[in-house]
Amino acid sequence: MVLLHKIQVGETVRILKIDAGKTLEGQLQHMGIREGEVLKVIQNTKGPIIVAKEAMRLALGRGMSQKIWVEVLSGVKRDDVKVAKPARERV
Amino acid sequence: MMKPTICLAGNPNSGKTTIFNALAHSRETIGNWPGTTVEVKESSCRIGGEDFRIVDLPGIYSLTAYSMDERVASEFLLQERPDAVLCVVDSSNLERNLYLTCQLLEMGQRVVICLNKMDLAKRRGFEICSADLSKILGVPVVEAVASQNKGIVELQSILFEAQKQSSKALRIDYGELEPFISQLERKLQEAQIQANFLDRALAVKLLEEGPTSTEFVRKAPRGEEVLQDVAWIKGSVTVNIKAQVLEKRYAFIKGLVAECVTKTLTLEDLITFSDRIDKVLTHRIFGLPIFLSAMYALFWIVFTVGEPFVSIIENVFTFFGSKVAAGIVSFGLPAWLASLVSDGIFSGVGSVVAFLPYIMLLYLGISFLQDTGYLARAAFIMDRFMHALGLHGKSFIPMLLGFGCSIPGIMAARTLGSRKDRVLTIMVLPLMSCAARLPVYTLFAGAFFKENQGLVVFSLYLLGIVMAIVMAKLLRQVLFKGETAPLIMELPPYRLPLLKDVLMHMWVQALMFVKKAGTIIFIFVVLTWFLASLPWGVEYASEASIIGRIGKIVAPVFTPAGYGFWQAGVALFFGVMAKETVVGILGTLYGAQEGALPAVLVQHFTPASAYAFLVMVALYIPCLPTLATIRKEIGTKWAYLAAFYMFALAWIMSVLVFQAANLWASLFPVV
Repeated sequence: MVLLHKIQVGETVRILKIDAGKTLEGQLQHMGIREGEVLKVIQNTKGPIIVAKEAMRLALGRGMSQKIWVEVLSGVKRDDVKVAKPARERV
Repeated sequence: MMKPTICLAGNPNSGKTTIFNALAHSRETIGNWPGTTVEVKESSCRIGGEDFRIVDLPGIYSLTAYSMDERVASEFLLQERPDAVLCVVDSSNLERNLYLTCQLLEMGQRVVICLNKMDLAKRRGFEICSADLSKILGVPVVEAVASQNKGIVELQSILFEAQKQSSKALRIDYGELEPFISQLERKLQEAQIQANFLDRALAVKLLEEGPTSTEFVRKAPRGEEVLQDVAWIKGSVTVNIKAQVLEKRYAFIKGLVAECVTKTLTLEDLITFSDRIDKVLTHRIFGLPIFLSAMYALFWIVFTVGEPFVSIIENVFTFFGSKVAAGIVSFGLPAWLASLVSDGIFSGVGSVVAFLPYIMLLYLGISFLQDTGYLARAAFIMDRFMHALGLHGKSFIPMLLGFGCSIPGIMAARTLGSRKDRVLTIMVLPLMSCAARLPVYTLFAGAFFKENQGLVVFSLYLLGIVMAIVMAKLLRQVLFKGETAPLIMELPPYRLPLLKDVLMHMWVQALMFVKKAGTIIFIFVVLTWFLASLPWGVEYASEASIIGRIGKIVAPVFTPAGYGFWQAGVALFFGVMAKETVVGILGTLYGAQEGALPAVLVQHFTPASAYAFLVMVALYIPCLPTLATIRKEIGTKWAYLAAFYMFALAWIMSVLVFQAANLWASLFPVV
């Protein structure tokens, strides 16, 4: 069991538990983010993260992603995301 | 006879607005419902030779009120019984979208489902059988691609049929909750409490603790009895009612989707073009600089393109003002009437309408960014920063709108879920320099700081932002203790916006400003004219006039800031009605035409007091229409607090600036 904000970009996870209090949980649930659903992490900055649930892309603040417990389904790590710095051409 | 009402409901980003714009014939207006604060967009349309009223509810995920938008939608459905509800569904995101659809069907509304974005759904590997969906739910289902105008004609004919037919309610089996639902239903009938939809749906909503429904029942004569029953049921069941209701509804939807949809692609296949753009635009490091450049470009375009239009409008108003005044005199009508028309109405209203180009362009740009999907990313990028200030990532969009006019900004804060965040955003939002303050800035910057005009104006915008940051921090610590609600926001896929939608969007927001210019400002301009002319016989806008006397009372307050003379006092006093009138009033009081005003100002202000005056204008009391909006949106005490704290803040900053400038000058005299 891991918290969602620790998940790397490109990994697929299943939600195990949302620990966020009535209101936030309700809000997430009505958007289809519930226990048992599968998410894919699209972007993980030091602040908020972006997850995909099927066609939906959802931005979650840091405080939110720290309240969602998940299990990792695929270990596909996408280290190739790091953009290689292009050599600057000087005229 | 009342026109039949069609109401549009759907998730955010379902394409609801596009469909609304395609159906609506005339321009939309903001409808007001009596007795509540509900404000919904409405328009009219003609289908099959009959006129319909068409209402666009805010984009919502469910009818359980978590945000103000959801509250507005639920209140509308409680109060009105639309003849048909068009539920717009994003087919590429079917499961989640059907949640709202189910809630509407359970209420017994006459629903027509519009499966929008069918092209996108196909590309994402969903094969949806709309005939099956229609059969299972018992309501008409229309496939559409609204952005290409596909399916709209069919939609019209089906809506026309549907509103005449009887409604069929959806009944979801809530398992062990069923006996309690029936019990509550009976109780509601016995207490003669009737909403505009089925008792069963109201009973379920009560068990779900829906705030609008609970309030509705509480207000009813025998409502307390029913609520006691609700409390009793809650105490006597062991299951979590909310979770149970949600579970059953989702189970139903899962079943429904399994029946009607074939998926040909997996989650892995669905890393889209949009996601690749996001890799760059929401990047941890590059995201912020890209965003700041975009904002810089936006404002640069607004002010560069807007300027010529602004001067054209100013000239037109001045020209017609003098022509009409001359006409009035030549007809033998009294000179005071000519003065009222040209000095009061034309120059006053003209000075306001003149910067409409800035507002229109800014809102055009913002609407464009919003429709491409980038604005939602901006909230994402800003979230960390805003969070550190005690604000919410979503607060950013209302604040951006505030640079045009505070009123649409305050209205846009409705999308914020938590009331604390919403109130805090609204409280600091007027510190963003609205377009109305710009004419004052440019007038003084041109007169006193010819070399650094741009810098001076920019510094005032920056001052507003910095003060908003300081105040947000402060208010969060004093009045709104506790954490900011974390960001939860859907990011729509990037797309090319439709011109029609962008223009409509801009129009709706600019309309709030135009309304203000057309009514409130007009009234105050005329009022100012009278106050400057009374008592009869005094020289217009002289010290002896009522306005002069008001100014003299107010003026001493501003002596420490370096502009303690009555003209400045009057200008600031009336600036509270509408900030832009400051320029016009100074012009009137000094008896100078637009062009001559800078020369006159130099005789009264020093550069230090001029800048102090601008600081005052930038930060002090929001204009009355803004205060009225604050009052309507979050309550009277907040409007008073905003007026009070902003005046105090502005006064302190203005005095500080003036005194510091003088101190500096005495320490380092210019030789």
